[in-house]
Amino acid sequence: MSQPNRQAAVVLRDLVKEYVDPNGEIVTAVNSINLTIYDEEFFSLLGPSGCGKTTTLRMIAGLEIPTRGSITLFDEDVTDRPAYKRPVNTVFQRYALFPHMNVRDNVSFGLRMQRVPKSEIDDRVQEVLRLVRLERMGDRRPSQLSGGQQQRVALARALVNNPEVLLLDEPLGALDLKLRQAMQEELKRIQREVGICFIYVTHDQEEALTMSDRIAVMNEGNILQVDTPYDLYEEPKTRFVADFIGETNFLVGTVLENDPELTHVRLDSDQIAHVTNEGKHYPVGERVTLAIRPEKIFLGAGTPPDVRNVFTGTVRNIVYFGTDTYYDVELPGGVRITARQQNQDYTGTAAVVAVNDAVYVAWRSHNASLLTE
Amino acid sequence: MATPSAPLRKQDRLQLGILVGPTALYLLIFFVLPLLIVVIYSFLRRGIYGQLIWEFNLDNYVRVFDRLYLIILWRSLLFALGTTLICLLVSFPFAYYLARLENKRLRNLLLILVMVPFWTNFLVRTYAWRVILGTDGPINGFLLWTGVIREPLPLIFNDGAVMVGLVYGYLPFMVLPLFAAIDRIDFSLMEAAHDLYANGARAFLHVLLPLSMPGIIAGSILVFIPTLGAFVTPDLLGGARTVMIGNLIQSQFLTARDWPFGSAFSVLLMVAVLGATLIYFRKGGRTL
Repeated sequence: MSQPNRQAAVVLRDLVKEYVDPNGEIVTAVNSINLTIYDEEFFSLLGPSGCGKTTTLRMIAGLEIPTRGSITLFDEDVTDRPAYKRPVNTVFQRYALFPHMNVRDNVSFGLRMQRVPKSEIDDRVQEVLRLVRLERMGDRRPSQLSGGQQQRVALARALVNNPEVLLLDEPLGALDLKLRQAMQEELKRIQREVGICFIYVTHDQEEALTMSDRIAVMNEGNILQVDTPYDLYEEPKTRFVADFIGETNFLVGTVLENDPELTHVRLDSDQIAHVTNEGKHYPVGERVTLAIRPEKIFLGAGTPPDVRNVFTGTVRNIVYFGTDTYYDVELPGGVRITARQQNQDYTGTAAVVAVNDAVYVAWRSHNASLLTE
Repeated sequence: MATPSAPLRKQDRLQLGILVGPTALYLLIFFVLPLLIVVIYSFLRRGIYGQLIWEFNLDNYVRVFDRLYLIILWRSLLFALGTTLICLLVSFPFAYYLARLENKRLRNLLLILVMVPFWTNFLVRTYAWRVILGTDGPINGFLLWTGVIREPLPLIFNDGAVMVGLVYGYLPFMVLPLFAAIDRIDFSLMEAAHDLYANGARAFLHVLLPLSMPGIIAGSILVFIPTLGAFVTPDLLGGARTVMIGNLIQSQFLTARDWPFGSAFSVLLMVAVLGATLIYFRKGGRTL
């Protein structure tokens, strides 16, 4: 994804972080990653715990020294610059507010360390407290604030310095669900208002999808895919990405034949599936995985819709979720497929079919993706 | 509010009595009563044979303000302050290292090593310093052997030796509370300080030091008070001129047999310590 009219804010080149674990073995936390993050962008590093996303963020902040590679901030190489000389600020996972200072002193800390004149400090602190809606909390100690308020103090303390890039390390992880959703919107609003690049580390795929302009999915120290939320969800490039973001059915098979538009795959359970290939031809006989999202599957007992992929199976389990119902369907050959039906109409029953009913499952060819890893 | 029934309250009082009673009784008999006796004695007069004359007067307190005694008091204060300061400077880096140590086994081992000296009697340990610092001791022996010096250095029976002995004796009382305080500090706060443009020195000054204050205060009090009244260390390691208040009080009771004057000095020492502690607490309380 190129963003030609934006300046690169952060460029990581062949960045590696290795450390020695307690057993004396070398562990690679970040494995030679390359990444360009643009100005004014809300960018997320997404992955399971231990994938290297926090280490990457900490290297950008200067809190971790890279083993190899370089970090560039707005065309300036900062690889060897200590944290206190980098024009970036961090919102820490558990806020790390100074407990011996009130809100105002916490927020003004960075300005005081930079020896900004007192009168200017007061103005900027007041302004940023207004931005995070904590104008009246200046005299409180962090311990007298709620989790959400502490979170906003941490944000204000970083933003008051007018950083070139704001780094956020799972900042909402400690909040409960409702507050987290409110803070997500708040963060987006603030990012639009200050107009700088936010780099956001999270393991919560939903959070990343709803907030980000672009997302880098990481696993085991590698970046697997960098894309917009839409492309990441609709066109995952690897099985890991398809699995980590949203829910997916995986059907394993062998490439049978390529048409100009469709690739035909013989599934291991012996059915033939058809997938749009967008001109890409897969070698015949190659092992592939077909990924199909549960909500893109039609399911019913009557006549199937007119689509290329139609299979019959038996309902094995039904789970009612309120907004949706999940149907676990067994195809001949033992393959299981989960289909998700939105409950658009109140019918008086939780499911349109019953367990052990024979049903069709069907999907359009362009709704499945072919993965080779 | 006032609903807990009478029997329950009685039970609470009983529980309180059982928990606090033994300690209170012990302190009353062996601490408060002797203290009262000392206070009373300080207002009495010494007879020619060292006996007590029950004549209420303030002469002992007037005598304390003799120039000679004031000098001793001043010297003692300097010794105690110096010891406290050196202990603090030596202990802080070590306590910080311990708190940050990720190898918990090594950390526990080091903590035990700090406490090992307590397993030996204080007097014996102080005598050991006489051997170490002595003219024929290992330090002088080594320096003579290497040829750095030709004559043994006068390492013992002077103020320096007393300082060494005091710092050695009270170092653990500084290390342990400091370690406890620093260990409680969330070290992501130091990272936050670095992230907010504070270099090492400023992060230390603005974050680590203020958050270590409870430990610094506790350790300083634990070192300052006993060193101010110390008498064994100056007695064994000090020269003829190294007299501290502790020695003065001891000699009044045991040598001069002037119990009233010794008592007056003790009372003044206690008041001074109490005053210093209160000031220190109040100052510390503000920074916390």
